Amino acid sequence: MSKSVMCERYCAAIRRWRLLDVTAFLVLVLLSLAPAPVSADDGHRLRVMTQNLYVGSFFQELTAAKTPQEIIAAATLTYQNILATRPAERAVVIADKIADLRPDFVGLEQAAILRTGTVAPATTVTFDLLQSLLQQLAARGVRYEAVAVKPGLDAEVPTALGFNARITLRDALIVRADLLEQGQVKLSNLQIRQYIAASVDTEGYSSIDVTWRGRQFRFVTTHFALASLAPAQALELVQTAANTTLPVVLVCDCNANPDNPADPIFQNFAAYLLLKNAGFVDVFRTARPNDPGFTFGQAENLLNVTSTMSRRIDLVQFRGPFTIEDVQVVNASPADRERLGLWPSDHAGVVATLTLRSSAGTD
Amino acid sequence: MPNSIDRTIIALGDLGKAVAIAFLALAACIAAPPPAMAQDNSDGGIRLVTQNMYVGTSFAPLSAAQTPGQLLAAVALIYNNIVASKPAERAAAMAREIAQHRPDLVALQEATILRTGTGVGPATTVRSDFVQSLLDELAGLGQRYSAVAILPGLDAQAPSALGFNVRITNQDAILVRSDLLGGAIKVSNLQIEQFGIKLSSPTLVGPLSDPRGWAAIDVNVRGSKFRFVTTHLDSVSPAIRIAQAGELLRTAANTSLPVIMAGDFNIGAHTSLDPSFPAYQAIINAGFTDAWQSKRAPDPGFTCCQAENLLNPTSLLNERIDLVLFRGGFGVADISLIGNQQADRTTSGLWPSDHAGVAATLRLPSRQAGNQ
Repeated sequence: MSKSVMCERYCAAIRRWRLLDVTAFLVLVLLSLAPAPVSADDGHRLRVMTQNLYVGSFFQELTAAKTPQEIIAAATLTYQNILATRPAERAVVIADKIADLRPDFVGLEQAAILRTGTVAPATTVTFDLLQSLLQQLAARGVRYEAVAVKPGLDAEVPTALGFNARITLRDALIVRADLLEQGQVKLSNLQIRQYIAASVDTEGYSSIDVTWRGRQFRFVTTHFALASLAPAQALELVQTAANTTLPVVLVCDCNANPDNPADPIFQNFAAYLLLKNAGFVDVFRTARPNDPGFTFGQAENLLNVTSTMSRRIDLVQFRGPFTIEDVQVVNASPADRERLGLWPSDHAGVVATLTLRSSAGTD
Repeated sequence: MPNSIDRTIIALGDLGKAVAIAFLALAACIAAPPPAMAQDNSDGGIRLVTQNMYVGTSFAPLSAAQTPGQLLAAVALIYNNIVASKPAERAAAMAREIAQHRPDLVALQEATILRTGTGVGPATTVRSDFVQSLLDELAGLGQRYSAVAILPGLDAQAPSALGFNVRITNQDAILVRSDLLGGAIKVSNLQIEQFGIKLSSPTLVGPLSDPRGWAAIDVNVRGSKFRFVTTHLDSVSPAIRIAQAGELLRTAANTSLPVIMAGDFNIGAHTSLDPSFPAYQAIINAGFTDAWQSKRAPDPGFTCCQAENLLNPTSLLNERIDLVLFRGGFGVADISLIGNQQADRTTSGLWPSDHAGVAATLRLPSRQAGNQ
């Protein structure tokens, strides 16, 4: 075969490849020039997230136990079930997601500690979801600082395993450390409060005033009770943390379903309504009116093969001159399951990207 | 190279201090406040204050109430006691004491909020808020502080004979000088925990639990890193107090970092006859030094307690229960009591709190290699 014949046969192919290369290169260039749809580091975008980390149990056996023997048996089961949900590995998956999206502020619910000991108080830490998450994030080069920790349920129960198990639930607010260190975010007026109407989980809120690239707003994270207490809690929130002229971003595990006032399990629509009537905008529903956006819930053992999400109870809301750039539900797709097939949490996370107009009208 | 970076930061920090000092001097010329004792954190030390702000009442009437009528009266009495103790006036007095010492870190206990409301909802009308008042008063004195840790404690609401509900919310807090925060003083690793063992008191409407706990931050000052902890151990039961002190040592103090614990331990450090003295001994055995004991003994240094109504004409302080304890290479440059002198009483004749505050300046541990 002559060289020219070879060229006839192949050179066209090579030229086509080169053309494809060039096209691909051009596409890349164009992509890089276009505004990045999900860049958290754009100076004007504020990215916030809420994620219930899930302690690993619904505690039904414990609340049903009556006699001391039943309590011991139930506590043993609860302890083993919690460990079976592999909290440390789940924190790795959630850290991956947070590191990818690099939200500025993250509200965490059920950032639990499990401790054991032979004598109360048990202090041998089996896992600490907040510390695990912060360490995993730091290992990915995306350091966060906890700026608020709100203690919740703290219960120690004897098990049949020869030691007590102590379960401590907490909510927390974490902020990207680089923003604090570079002075792009300044924080003041920290408030960590419990609601007066509260379950054994002593629900409450954390609130902090943020100066962010010259703008001011208040960031609030809360976790309402599952039971009928939520409307009273929402009322207290409206009268306290949300009683401000500052713009407010509110993230929550609200245990209230805004999309179904008659939800038979999450009967807290009144709590949602209180917030709505106080001027709060439900980011997900506003930006994506036809997308269910379910955030709850997977099976208690997190081993359900197909997602069983059926309700939207984890919300990002705001009041004030914010604009919604983007909102997404995360940690709820099959690809997010960790290697043994566990979902990262029984809740999905919600990540919203907002812009905040300067009150002075500049910038 | 890390060293040279550190030096740059230090140099900038010193510049900031020089400017701050210039401003202070200017302010002194204009307003002539009390002579500034503050050396502004340039002498290699860390300045701190711990102060129990005193809620303003005892809760004994609550436990004593046997009928609904007595309960309403007890709540009314407690409310009136707190209002009569003039929290805002006392916060101003405590702010003056704190401002004179110009601490880098402030540990507060019983930084209470008093709220009222009507009907069945949460009481949210704020009558007094110690953290907010103190921060406002300090800012009014030109000294801005930021709360970086708040530990929620007892939070109870009850109807009163006054026709409204009364809500008392207890808090402990850590404040940091705003002008140094993020610059000369870097804060990380916020931890807030309640103790597993807590007091539960019977009342007519069910048990009232008094959760206590601790708050901690890791502090980096000019390359020296240490943990700063505040706590308020149970005030009623020695057994509970001992359990809480044990938990404190196994949690907050369970670190290889140098540690400062400043707070109201409710342990009479001045006498081994105190039933909870074993808890103090356990803290000392865990390697802690009692700053007052090491610097000022045999001066008793009593920090508690004035009369419940704070109107006693002569100081009644006769116990030393507010302590600054440290482990890991600190030295005590200075330690003194604040708010315990006649001149410290408010214009109404009130002591600022039933506790004296403790103001200390500790020399920092020498910076270790790699400790940035």
